[in-house]
Amino acid sequence: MKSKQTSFLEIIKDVRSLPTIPGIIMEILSSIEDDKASFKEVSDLIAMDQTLTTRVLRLANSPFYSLKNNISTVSQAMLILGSNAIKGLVLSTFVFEMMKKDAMGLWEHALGAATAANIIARELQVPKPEEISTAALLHDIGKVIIRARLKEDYEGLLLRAEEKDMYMREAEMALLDTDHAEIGAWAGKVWNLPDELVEPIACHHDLARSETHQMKTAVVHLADVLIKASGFGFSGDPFVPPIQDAAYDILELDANRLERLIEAIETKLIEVKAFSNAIQ
Amino acid sequence: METISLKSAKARMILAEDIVRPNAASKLPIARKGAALTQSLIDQLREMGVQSLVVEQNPASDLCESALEDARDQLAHRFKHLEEIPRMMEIKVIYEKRLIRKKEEAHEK
Repeated sequence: MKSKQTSFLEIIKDVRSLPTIPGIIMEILSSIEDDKASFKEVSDLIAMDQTLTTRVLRLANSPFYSLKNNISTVSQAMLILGSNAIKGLVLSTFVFEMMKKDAMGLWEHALGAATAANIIARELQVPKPEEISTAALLHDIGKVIIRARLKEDYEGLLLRAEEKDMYMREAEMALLDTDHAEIGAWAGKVWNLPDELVEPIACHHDLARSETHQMKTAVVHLADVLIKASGFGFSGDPFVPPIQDAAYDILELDANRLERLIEAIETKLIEVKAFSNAIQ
Repeated sequence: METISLKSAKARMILAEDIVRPNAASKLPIARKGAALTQSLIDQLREMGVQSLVVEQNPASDLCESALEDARDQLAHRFKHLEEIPRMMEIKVIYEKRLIRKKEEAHEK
């Protein structure tokens, strides 16, 4: 007889049961990366769908990217943010629509993490801060999938974490024999997200597993911890996890640097809260 | 209601009793029970030699205190599993200091 864990895992990892992504988004995600033809192709695809265009531009102009100038066209967004970030943004528009129904706390946590990741990456001069910010926006996408598939059992998971004084991830492992990081990365691969986004999603709770994109992953990990510490939004986790030692090494963190980062992030979150309220 | 020294008086506190000019023959109050203190009134009272006054328990400051206590409790709860990790406790202190600063800034407005 199958264990309950195996049954849950099969439910979640059934590709057919993944949330149905609109065809246009799948086409965009499937386009070839960093190719001139693909650049125009992606711009044109997005521009064909007015709703998608509006949503992408709204996110591109959000406080978590902190761009100096307003982005008014998709081509401009592509040029400034890069194709990986745009792909992530396009997927985020869909994820947000799912979260909007009954997981606004999780969406706010994602916005907060994206903001924090942008600030951390810029402060520490890590390349491609917009790409890292987008990875942070998507880092908990696994929770959205688990929630969509398990419904009431997911609520039970949240309660269990709180009642047993556990981290959410521990509760996930106990119930599902996997966690939201693994599920998110799996879905990201099914949806053709670039590796620059998938690896931080997969490894944001376990930096040791990060291979190719360690700096990006460390930034997303730190952003996740600091937003939880701040209490901004609600990730589903009642407790703040520790910043891993590897993050201190990779990002050369010390107490002063962390204090400066926290001050900058907390100041920016006021703007992010207003943005979040405006788009609900 | 409590008696406080003028040094402790702050704008927006509410007078619980009339304030009468010290040593004055006339008992006409300078400020009436129920009036909210302003900084200029506090300065005026100091000039007149008023040393103490009776104020209502200020609901605004009570709320601030209670909101701060709630926020600190929530912060402590979030950091519950990190007490053995000095680095994380240093980070908790940073957030705590911010909470206190925010409360003080709100109180000054």
